[in-house]
Amino acid sequence: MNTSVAAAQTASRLALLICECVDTGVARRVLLVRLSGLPRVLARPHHLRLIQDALAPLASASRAQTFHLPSGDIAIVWRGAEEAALARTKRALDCLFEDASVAEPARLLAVMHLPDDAVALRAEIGAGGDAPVPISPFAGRPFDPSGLVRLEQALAQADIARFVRRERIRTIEPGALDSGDSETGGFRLAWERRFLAAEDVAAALTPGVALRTDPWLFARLTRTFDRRMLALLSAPAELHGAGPFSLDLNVASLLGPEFTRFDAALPRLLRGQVTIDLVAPDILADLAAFGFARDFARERGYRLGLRGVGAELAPVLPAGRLGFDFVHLRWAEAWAGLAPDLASMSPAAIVLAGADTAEAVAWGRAQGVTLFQGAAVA
Amino acid sequence: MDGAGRLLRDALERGARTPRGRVMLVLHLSRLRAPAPRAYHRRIARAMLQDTAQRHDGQLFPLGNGDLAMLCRSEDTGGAPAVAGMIAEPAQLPELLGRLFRADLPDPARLVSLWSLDGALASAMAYVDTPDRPETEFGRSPQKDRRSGEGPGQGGLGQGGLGQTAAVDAIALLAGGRNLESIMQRQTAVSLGGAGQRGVRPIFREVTFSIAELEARLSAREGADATGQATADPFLFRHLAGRLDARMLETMRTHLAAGSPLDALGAMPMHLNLTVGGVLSDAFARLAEECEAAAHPLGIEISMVEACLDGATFVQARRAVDRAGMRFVLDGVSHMALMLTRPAAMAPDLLKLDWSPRMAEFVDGEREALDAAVAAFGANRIVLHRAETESALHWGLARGIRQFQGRHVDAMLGAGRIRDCGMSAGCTLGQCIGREAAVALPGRAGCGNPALLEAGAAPRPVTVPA
Repeated sequence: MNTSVAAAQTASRLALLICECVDTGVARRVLLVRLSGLPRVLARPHHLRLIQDALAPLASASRAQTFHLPSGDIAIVWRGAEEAALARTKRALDCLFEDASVAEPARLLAVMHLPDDAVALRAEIGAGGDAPVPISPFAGRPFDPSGLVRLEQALAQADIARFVRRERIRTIEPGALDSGDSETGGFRLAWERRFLAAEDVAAALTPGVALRTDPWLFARLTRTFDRRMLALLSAPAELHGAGPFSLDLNVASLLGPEFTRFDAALPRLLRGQVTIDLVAPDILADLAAFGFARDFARERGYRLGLRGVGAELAPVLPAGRLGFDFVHLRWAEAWAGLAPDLASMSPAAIVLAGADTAEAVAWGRAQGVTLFQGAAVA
Repeated sequence: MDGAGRLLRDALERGARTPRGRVMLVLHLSRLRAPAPRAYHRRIARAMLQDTAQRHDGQLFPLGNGDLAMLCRSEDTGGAPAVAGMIAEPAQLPELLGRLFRADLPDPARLVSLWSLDGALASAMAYVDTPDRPETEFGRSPQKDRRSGEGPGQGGLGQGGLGQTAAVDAIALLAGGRNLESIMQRQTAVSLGGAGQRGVRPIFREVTFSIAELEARLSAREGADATGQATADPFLFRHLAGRLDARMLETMRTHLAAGSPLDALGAMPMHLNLTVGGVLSDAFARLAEECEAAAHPLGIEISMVEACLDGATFVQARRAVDRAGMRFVLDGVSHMALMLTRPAAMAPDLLKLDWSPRMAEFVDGEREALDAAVAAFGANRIVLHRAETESALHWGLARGIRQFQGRHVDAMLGAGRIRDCGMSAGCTLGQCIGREAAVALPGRAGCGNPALLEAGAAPRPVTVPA
C-alpha cells in the first residue's frame, strides 16, 4: 500500500529540498505559516479551510510546492518571481488572523530565502540545527500490534482535522494537447484528493513509530483513518462549497455505517463529483464484498479509482474489468526509456501519480494520459 | 412468528383498512446464496429502503429470518427532501435491488416481492403468516458476520477480552516456543487420473502452522474462545503470516541441516506458504542453500493478496524463488479473482484456485465466464484447493483440472491406506487422516505402518469420481 507521495509531502521531502538548494545554490523562497501557534479554538476545521483558501494564490503558482509539516505548520516553497501571489496570500492571511483576534499575528508568518535561511528552516521543521533530518518513513521504532492498538486508541480522541491534507489532480485543458503547452498553463484542477497524513498522525500521537515497517498493520490502521475521515466530512457544513474530491477508503469502510452517514450528508451538488479510491490488496482480500460495495457506490453516484498500482501490477489488475473508472498509476523514472505494458488500460482512465518532473508529464502525454498528480502539475 | 413479524402483521392489518396507494415490499435477504447474507448486505439495504420509507410515509420491519419488509405509500408524499436521483420510488426498488444483489441472487424475481395492498393483500398476508419461515442467527443478530473484518474486536475473545489485534499478537507469540513441529501440519495434494492413468498420485505436500491449534492454545490460556481470531481480519492475518514465516523457515532449515528424519519432507516435494518479506529474508536464502545441498525440491506459495501489496517487492521475491530453482505457486486465488484479474501475468508455475460451493451453482453467463477463465489460464496448471467435497472434484474434473488439495482428498487417501494396510484393523479413518497430517512423530503415534503413511497414497488406486 504505497502512500509515499503523502509521506514525501512532509518534513522529509522538504529537508531534501533544502539540501538540494544548499548543494546547488538554486534560490527558492519559502512562506512558513505556523499553524501550530494558533490557539486551539482557532484551529477548527472551518478555520483551517479558510486558511487553505487564503494560501491558494501562492500554493497554486506554477513552480510552488506545499509541505504539510508534522507540527501542523505549512511551508510553501517556490522558485521565481511570485510577488503578486505572495502579497495576495499575505494580505488574506493577515485579514484572517486579525479578524480572529490572534495575539501576535506577525509571529505566525515568515518569509524565508533558500539557501540563506536553510539552517533556520531546518530548525522549523523539527530537525534542529545541523542534526540529520529523518528522511525515511521506515526510521523509528517498528510498528507492532501494541503500537497499532495505542494509535487507534489515541485516534479515537484526537482532533484529526489538522492532519487532513489535499492533493490536486489536474487535467489537461482542452486544446493544450494541440498547443503543446505542457509546462504551466495547460492544466486545470480536476479534483482534490483529501487524505490523512499518516506519518504526521503517528508523529503527533505516538511519536517515534515508523508506520511503514509493517504494511499490513498499517493497512489495518487505515480503516480507523477511514472512519475518522468520514465522520469529519459528515459534519454539518464541512463540505459546504467544496469542489470535486476523492477519498482513500477500504471496502469495509465503504460498506460501514460511517459511509452511510457521509452519503446522507453529502451536498446535492457534489453527488457524482466524489471519487472513492481503493487499493488492490484490500479488494482482493474479499472480492465479493468489493463487488457489492462497487455496485452500491455506483448506485449512489460515486466514481471509483484503483490506487497504488505500479507497472508490475498493471497487467494483473485490469481496472476496467474490475469496474474502476480510474487507475492511479505510479510513475517510475525507468519508464522514460522503456514504457511498461499498459495495453489493458485506457489512457483516459489513468491518473499518472507521482508526476513530479516534466519528464513524467511528457511521458504521460505521449501515452495519451490526461490526468496527473504530482509536483510538476501542483 | 417473531416480534417484528407480529408488528408487521398489525401494521398490515391497519394498512388494509385504507389500502389504496399502499404497498408492501419484501427484500428476501434470506434467499441470498451462501456465504451471503452478510452484515453489510443488511446495513446497505436497510439504508436504501429507509430513504424510500421516509419519503413515502412508510416503515421498515427487519424480520427474524433476515428479510426486510417495508410498508409504504406508492406515491411520493413529499416527506424528506429527495436527493436528486438517489431515493428510489417503491416501484423502482425491485430493479435497483436486483442490480445490487445480482451476484448473490441472480434471479431478481426471487429477491424482491412487491404487493399492492389494494389488489394483492392476500399474498402479502400469506407471506407474513408463512408458518415455515425459520428464524436465522443472521436475522436475530444482524451485526454478526461469518467473515467479520468489518471492525475491531468481533468474535468471542476479540470482542470481550484481548481485542482482535492483541489476540493475533498473542497467537504469534505462542508460535515462538520450542517444539514447533507439534503445531505444524502437512497436507498432500494429488493428481487424479488423466493421461491414461487411473488412481491418485501425490504431487506435493504443503507444510503449515496449524492455526486452529494455535487458537486452541490461546483459548486455553485466556479461558475464552479464540476460534477464528487469527483469520477474522485479512490484514491482521497477513501480519501474523509474516511473523510465522521466520519460525517456519528456521525450523525447516534446522531439520535439513541436521540431517534429521525430515518428517515433514518425505519423498515428495514440499511446499511452504510464505509472505513476500519471508522470501526476501536471509532465513529463506539459508533454507534455499540447504535445499540445494540436500537436493530436495521445494515449492513456494505466495497468496495473491500478499503479492498485490507491493508489485515491485513481489517481483523481487518472484526472482528470488526463480534463482533458488524453486517452483512458484500463486495461492489464495478465488474464482472471482480468476475471472476479474489476470493472475497469468504473475507467471506462476501453479495456481491454487479456492473451491467454493457457489462455483457449482453458477447460472448461464457466470458459468461460461468462469470456464473461460479456467481455460485461459490452463487447467493443467491449476490446483483446486480446499476441495472439501466430492462435488468439488466433479466440478474440477469436468473442466480438465486434475490436481486437488483439501479434506476430501485427505479422506480419499486415508480410505485407500486403510483398505490396503494390514495393520489398520483398529484404526478409524479420522485417525489415519490425522496421523498423515502430523509433521512430528508423536502425532503419528499408533500407526503400525509408517511407510504407507509417509507415502500418502495406497499403492492400489482408490476410486476416482467419474
